[in-house]
Amino acid sequence: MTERVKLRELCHARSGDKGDTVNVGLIVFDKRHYDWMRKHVTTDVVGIYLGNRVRLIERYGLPNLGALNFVLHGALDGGATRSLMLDAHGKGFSAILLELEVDEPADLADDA
Amino acid sequence: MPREQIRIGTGSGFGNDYLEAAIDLAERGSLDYLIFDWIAERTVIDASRRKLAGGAGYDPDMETRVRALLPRCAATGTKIIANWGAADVEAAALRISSIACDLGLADLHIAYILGSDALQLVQEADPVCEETGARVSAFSDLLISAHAYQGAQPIVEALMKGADVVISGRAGDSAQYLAAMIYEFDWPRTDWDRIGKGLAIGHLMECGPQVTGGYFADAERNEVPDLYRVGLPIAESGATGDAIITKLPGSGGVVSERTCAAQLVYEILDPSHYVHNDGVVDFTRTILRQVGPDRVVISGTGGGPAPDKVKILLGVREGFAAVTLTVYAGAHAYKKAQLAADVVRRRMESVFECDPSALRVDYVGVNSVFPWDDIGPSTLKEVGLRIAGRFETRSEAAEFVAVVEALSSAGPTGVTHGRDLSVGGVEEIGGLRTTFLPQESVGFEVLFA
Repeated sequence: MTERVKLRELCHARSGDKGDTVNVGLIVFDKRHYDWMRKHVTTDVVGIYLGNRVRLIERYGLPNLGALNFVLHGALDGGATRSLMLDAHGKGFSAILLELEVDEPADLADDA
Repeated sequence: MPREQIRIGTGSGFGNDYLEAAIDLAERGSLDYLIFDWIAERTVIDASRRKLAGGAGYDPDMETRVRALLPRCAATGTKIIANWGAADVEAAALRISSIACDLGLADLHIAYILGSDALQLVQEADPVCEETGARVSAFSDLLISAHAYQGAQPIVEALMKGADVVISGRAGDSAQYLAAMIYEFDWPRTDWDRIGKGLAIGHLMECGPQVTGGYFADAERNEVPDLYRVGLPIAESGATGDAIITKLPGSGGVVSERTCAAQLVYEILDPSHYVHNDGVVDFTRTILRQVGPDRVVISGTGGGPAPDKVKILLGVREGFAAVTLTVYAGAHAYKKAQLAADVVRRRMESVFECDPSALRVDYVGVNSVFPWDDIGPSTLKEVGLRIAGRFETRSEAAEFVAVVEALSSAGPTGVTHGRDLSVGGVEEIGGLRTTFLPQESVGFEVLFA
């Protein structure tokens, strides 16, 4: 049985805004986990987690850095200049995404 | 003779970065350049509105930086590049020039660059707004500002004309760094690969402490020494386009592959196609490598041709925002906060004929950032009720704030009552929209104060 793991156990992250779009870069601590992240942290998984808080999600890979970049459109109530959201600049989205739970990588399961 | 290597320091990533860290860099950094990014999408619109209201079109707070750093940089021959001009570049440059005279530095060559203010151009060309799909003229008199992103070339021109200080308006953050490299290394303006590399170095540097441990420490796994006095970064930038990102010995913070990778992904969209005025960056080829304590090499970044069009940020009046916060305490704090929200909604609807669905209600501690699934809100002994709304006039916004203030005696029990400021306030807001103009239609001009 595969154990579940929160992304923060294996990644760090940074988020920022461009207009009404937030991007979250997820970076694995250990580059050997990049393929695991690509497989498990899909736009579908992130979309279900964030629900209707975003309009459209795109995902890009940066394998050299062990990073995936999630671009979340329509996430900021119109953007920082007019948004009523507490986090109008979206800097907290990285912390939100790191709480996402997915199947842990095989090597971790083996260690356990 | 072009140089082989230069040292570039970040003076600030935005207006509130630590001044003493910039002073430390200016004094101990052996810098060729100290570069300040002072503006963001939001601050240009704020500055435009301030200028329209009769105030300064630039941020007067920059004066403290100028007074502290001009003499130090003049003493070491460090050139300053800064987008301190915001919405009124000429006024900012003249102010800096007059401060320089006060400080006995009248010999400094202070250049400034006009052309970023594109309101008239936009009104004449009337391009289509990206978000609305309608012509910009549809905003009519609600359009208060239009600023074209400025690339590196006008800054390079200013440096070639002997500038010691170069003041821009909406200069692209990374472009200010690229300009120093193009000028010192004599890079051709179509050497896309090296332009991509230079912009990538600028991208890592432009948010100051975000690459030296700020916005990284997580109080658990990612430790950052002496975060309270985190240092600003230095790029030891080479003519090949590679650089070492580092910081001053003895300053707080850390430079690691992790801090650099985190900053590399900050505020980017498609990493293989990050568009700037001067060219396109391909971050998917970038390699980060730790080569010593607080020393990370950035190399490998690719580049591509500059876009045909210049991005223009439009500021559009959108009335006023009001934000309030009331904290409820004790048993059932969450339920009491929900009751208070109901009181505010119904009162706004019945007394002020305000559509209550236009109010945004969040519960701090429960769901103001995200509806965390494992909080158990019924057990919380304190919950913040945050209500915010947008209003057409300042007086309507103020009425709303007064309705929330009245909760302290007319709402549910468990309420807390702090200083007036703690309830909240009203701020005028401008929506941000974008449009594009052909590169050749936006001209920049270098002048000296």
